[in-house]
Amino acid sequence: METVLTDILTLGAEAAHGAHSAGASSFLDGLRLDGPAAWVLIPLLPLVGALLCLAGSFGKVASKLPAYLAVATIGLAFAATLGGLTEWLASGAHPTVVSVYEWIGFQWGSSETDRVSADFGLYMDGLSWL
Amino acid sequence: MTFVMMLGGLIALYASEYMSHDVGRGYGRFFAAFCLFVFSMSCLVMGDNLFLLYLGWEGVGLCSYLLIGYFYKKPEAVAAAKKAFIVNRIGDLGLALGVFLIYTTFGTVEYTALFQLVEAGVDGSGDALAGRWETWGIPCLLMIGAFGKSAQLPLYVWLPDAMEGPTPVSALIHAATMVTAGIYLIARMFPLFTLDPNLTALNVVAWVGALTALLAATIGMAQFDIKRIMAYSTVSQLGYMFAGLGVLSSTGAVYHVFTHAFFKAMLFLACGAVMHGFAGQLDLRKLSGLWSQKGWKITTIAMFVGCLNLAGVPFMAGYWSKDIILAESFTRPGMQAIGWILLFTAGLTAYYTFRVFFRVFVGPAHHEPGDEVHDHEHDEAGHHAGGEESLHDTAQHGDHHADHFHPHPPQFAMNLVLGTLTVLTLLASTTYFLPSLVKPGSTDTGVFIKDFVVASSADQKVVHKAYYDTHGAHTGDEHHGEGETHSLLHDGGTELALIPAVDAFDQATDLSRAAAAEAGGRFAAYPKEKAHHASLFGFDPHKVMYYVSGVVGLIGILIAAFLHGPKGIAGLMIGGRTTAAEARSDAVAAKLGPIPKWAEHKWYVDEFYDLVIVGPLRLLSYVFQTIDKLLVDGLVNLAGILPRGIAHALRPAQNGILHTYATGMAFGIALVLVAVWLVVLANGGS
Repeated sequence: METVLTDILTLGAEAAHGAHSAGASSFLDGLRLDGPAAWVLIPLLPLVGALLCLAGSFGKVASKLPAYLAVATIGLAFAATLGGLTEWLASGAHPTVVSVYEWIGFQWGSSETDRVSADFGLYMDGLSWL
Repeated sequence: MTFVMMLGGLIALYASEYMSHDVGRGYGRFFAAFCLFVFSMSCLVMGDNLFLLYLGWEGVGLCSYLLIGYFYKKPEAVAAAKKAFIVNRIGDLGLALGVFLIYTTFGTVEYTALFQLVEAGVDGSGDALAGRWETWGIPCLLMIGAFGKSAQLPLYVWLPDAMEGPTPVSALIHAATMVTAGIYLIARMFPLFTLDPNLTALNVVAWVGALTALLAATIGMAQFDIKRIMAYSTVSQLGYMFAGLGVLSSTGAVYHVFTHAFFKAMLFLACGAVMHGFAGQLDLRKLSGLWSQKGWKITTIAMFVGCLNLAGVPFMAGYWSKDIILAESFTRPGMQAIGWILLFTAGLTAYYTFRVFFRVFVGPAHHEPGDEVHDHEHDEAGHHAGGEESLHDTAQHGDHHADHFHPHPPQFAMNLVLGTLTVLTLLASTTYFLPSLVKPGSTDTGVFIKDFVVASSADQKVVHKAYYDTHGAHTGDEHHGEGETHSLLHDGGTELALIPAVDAFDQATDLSRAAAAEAGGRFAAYPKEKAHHASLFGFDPHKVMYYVSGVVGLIGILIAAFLHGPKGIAGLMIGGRTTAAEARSDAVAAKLGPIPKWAEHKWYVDEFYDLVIVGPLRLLSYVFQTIDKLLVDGLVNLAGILPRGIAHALRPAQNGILHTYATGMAFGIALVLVAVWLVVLANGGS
């Protein structure tokens, strides 16, 4: 299953490269499928913050602690974003995919088309970074 | 993502002070929802497939609901939260159907696989897409989703009501980030939108955007609640972004998203500081001259910079991004009308923005507290620590007499955030002159944002080429043509080097040429030169727009100064307002008859919806309720009524009186005797 998708993607990436050498450029040029896993921190940190604040709300924390937690996690996520952006720019600013795990995967028949799958993954290009 | 995180962090810091009346249980709840929102937003923007986008889409919708309804003891807040949630669901249905249709057509929801198929112009099973209904069906469905989330006609009504939420929420979710998700969706799916040679969906997007911009601006002019004015200006600016996408200026639209996020967040936070300091007072007739009151300097400066941006005053961030959209709409064949609408709206925007500024921040010092007056000694004793009591209880606060009221200007955290945002907004203005980060070495101006857009799916030029190449309709001299375009442009004058939209220009050419070659395409009537030199009074629109829109903005500000400005320097010498409550505009409004009143009542759109949609639904539900009562319940009840009726008839027999029983027994025995006698007789007994 995985290999089929990977094949499609690899073929596509090759096709994009081929097209590039032929002169017609595509926004998918130089597509990378192995982005740095550290980028996952960007969405993850606010989620951790949310869980901590929720715990604080049940634990009846009567101080400004939740606010500082929120500021800290979102601030760290911002730092991670800046770091990731720098890394992305340095690597040539091509669309980059980071696959974390297969989030949804159903197979209801033997055929390759009888499936639906979606990774929990990131697709980072100029639009996402901005 | 960068600006979402940056603003998210800053607004969380601001909220730490703004929400200080709620320290305790509500405080944690607020920040939990706040962080969850940032998480959802990053899923939406960074996800690599449409399901993840949908997760984020619903996640931000949920957080928006939770945060609008944060003051859950306030009936209006709860109603507004429900309204936002329900109106958003209408749009989400469109998005969900769009995603399903993408899956059934392409067999995948992953962006990379999807874009490759779209570039090749084939569906999941390898069949060509040209001429199929899906090429306009998918964009139209996605478009409905975008209209719901980004508050466009006819689904914009939830956004102004969403201002019932705490102000930091309004700033982050309902001004800077979440509402731009619709723009993001269309920009992300641009390859799909441009598959359709007629661009059906994008033309609708352009018109809806322009009309929303105009409508919201006219409503904003007549409101008195400063936060609501900002809400309508958000709706209006979102309209600009949609119009930008619709006229194929994805650069302009994304640039406007970026700049708008900064200055609108700042405007909202400045309004929030006023609301916080004056106990919920937001009526611009009851506040005046904040500049001359102690501790409000930073807020005033922040507000001033924000207003300059929103009004599109030259060399401000909002000016650059708005101009790209305006100029693009004048260059697109058949879209000039949109350009005029947007230009007129720019004037209105400048007017209502500076109306707020001239009324509230300059002039004679005056203030009346709002209805959320709270006791300061109580505040300093550490608020109502813990428990449900900590929720904003307006009734409780309202008990305090207004005589004791002292406005409390923003403290360190709020001032820090306002100051930082002011600096950031000014920095955002300079992004126009920054070199490209994506393509180092490029020295053009206006490429900072453009190259980000070009390095993404929002750059649809390439897709077009691939699409029309596949269909053999391409003439092959495209690159030569592009070269020509550039030289033509540069012949036009040195000013043109400033123009960031050259790229979008090229896109339009590609489009018109390819469509012309397709034979019968709508651009066939517009030869290439015309598409490029669609002129405004014989001038190049890109160049002209830099002057025209600046002048229109300044005219709007001058009118605002004349009608609302105080006497003296701050009113630019033409204002004549001496009290907080009255201004020259009152006389003008009186002359206009009922029109300002209609605008103040939002053109009765809510009432219209109540009448046309909610009313019939109520009627229908009443009919169904009646049918349900009579038929469904009726049958069930009948099953109960029958035995009960029989029982009712028999019940007197068991009345507990001996005589009755004795009588009954006697009758019974007599009956048995008669029966026996009859049986014996029948057997022919002796």
